[in-house]
Amino acid sequence: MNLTTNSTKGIKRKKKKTSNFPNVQSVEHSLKKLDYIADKTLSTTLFLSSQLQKPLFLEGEAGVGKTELAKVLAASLDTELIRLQCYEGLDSNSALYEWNYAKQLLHIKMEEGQENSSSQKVERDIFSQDYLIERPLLRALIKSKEKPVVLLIDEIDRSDEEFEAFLLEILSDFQITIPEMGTIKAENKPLVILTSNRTREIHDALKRRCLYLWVDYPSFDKEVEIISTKVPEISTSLAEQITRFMGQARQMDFYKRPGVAETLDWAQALLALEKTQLDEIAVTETIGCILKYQDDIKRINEEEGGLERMVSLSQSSSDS
Amino acid sequence: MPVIKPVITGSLKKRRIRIPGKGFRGEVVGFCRVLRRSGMKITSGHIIDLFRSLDNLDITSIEDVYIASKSNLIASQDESAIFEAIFRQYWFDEKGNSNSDAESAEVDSQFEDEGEGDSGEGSSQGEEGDAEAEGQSNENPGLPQEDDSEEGGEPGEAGEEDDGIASYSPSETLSNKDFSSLEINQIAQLRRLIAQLIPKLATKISRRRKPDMRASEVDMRRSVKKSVRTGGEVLQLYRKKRKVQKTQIILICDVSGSMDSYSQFLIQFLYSLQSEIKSLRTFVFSTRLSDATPYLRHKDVNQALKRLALEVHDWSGGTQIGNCLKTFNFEYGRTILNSRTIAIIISDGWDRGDTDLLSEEMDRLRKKCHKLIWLNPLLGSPGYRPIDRGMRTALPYCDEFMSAHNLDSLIVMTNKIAQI
Repeated sequence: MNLTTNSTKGIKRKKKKTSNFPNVQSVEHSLKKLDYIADKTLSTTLFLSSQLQKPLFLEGEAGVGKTELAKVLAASLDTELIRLQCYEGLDSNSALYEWNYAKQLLHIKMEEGQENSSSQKVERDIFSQDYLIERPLLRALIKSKEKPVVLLIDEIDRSDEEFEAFLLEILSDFQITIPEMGTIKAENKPLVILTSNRTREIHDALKRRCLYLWVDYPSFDKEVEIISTKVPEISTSLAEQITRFMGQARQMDFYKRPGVAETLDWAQALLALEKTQLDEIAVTETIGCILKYQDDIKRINEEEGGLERMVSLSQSSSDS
Repeated sequence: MPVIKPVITGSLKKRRIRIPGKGFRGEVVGFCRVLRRSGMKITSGHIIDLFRSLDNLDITSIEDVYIASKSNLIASQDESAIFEAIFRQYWFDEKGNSNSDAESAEVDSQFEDEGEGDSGEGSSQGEEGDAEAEGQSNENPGLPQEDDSEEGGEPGEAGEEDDGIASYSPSETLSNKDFSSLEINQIAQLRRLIAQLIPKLATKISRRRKPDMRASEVDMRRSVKKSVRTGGEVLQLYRKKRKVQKTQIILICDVSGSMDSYSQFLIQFLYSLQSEIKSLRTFVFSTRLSDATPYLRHKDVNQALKRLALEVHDWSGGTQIGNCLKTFNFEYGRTILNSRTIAIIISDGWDRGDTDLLSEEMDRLRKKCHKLIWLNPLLGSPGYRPIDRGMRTALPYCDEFMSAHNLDSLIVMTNKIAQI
């Protein structure tokens, strides 16, 4: 299959060398080198995203490693990571660029005293690169000139709809027009990763421009592997016990179910306390690592058989 | 659990697509069409991108095809279940039988059985004729949403009856009519009225600012920028104020048996609300809670209702408000509720569940949202007192308790919310 029209809008796109990944396996491999365990679905989608130059939209519970992926991706491609943290009220001035008004004003004041200054000169001066504050999106375009950077637009669900609409424009053209300076276009498209914790639905129009991936909690084997990679000092049996315990905990009716980040924190905490086995005391002492709501902690204690049962379950299966 | 496990990976690994090469592209396009018919928004741009993706992958591996098409075609985890069911039906239903009640679960088990046995047989490539015939039957997979001729007829018939009603202002007669006695033909009028009400609904102060010279806050950015015109001298101070924004509303609607007489109206109401307020999330429950939002987003109301009815298995069943609220709190509450959300529960409060649970969950819900409003259609009927067990338990947690039995009461409610 070879299709020539390859853009969504039907415009022919020039073939540019952007990705360092020759195939899916290499994605998986290079992520693993940086201690990120990716499954087939994730690495395939990541590979496609870099091949198609389409942004990748990652959705999933908090703490499953969405942001981490962008960091690791940047490191594995040996390129810069530019991060835009979204929040409600985020506007184009703080996402794109802004003029340094104070500096401009000072310059104008300084020029006032000079005899040979003209208004054209002043204008030329103050609307130049020196007076421009680059915000993440503009910086990503400029930095991508030599080598595509990784642009992480984190927690897009926290921003509001106005910003989404604005992002739509940037993500489809990868160019920014500054009225005073002209249009800046990315020579290479940055690799864009958007993440969302799903506190609200993102507009379809934006999602449709991206490859969509739901990041789930890792499987048992994968999680054990993650612990052993990230906390190498830990024994395999403890890692398995932790994972098994977390697996049970995620089945429970918690208000905030613990993610992978919590698993790793916990593993580190247990290691610091020099525990070699999960027991009731160890769990009770460190429960704050995995459960962050008082209600949830209460619930786990009230659970039938309580901690005792969960602990013994996570141990007994490791013996057999 | 809100997480739908991707059943298709793993067990499918060894299977091969029946016809790689000739006709494969057609099959992919056919597949996209089926998805589109089921309500997913798929443009030719997506299909082109899907082909570009497949160019880069091994198309003889069903897993690759699955991953590529899923990441390209779905826009939300909500669509994942529909996608998976259709994917399985399209690529794996070997008998070509497309039973209209082939629910995903059924296909699921059927597939699981086959997966073990004939993983080797899958690579038979010679049966092109066979496969082509199948390709055609796939064009018409008999998805449950297919035929809407029946539904289409009803409004027309009803429209004739409408002429018989002689009234000066139809909206006026409508507005105090009890919904339980509402004729189907009047629903269109009702929707128009609702559409007029909506803009009034619910506003909040945004974090964004907009220019307003009468406001008190100084807009430095604009003031300085404009001062460049006057050589850097700030002659005029520009001001800004906070914008006003629509509030986020969550609807949790009872569709159990006791609400039956109102449900005809209710679903229409939910549908119109959903199409007017994009950010609205709608949930329906009787014994089990389901997120109706993706279904109500369907462009055609009849299609939307059909799909919703399929999803809600126990429509008109019993009620377990406490349990359903619990599902809501745990699966959705944490992520979609915030201090500005207005949660509206529409229910008659007839509950057969555990009252302790109900009060616990009402409390939790109350704490997480800005206002909690309970609409009870029974409140309109003369002599009604909220004395039944469920309603009595829930009442202390509600900020507002209003009736919703006719349009007048809805107008009152709308104004109330607008003031919050």
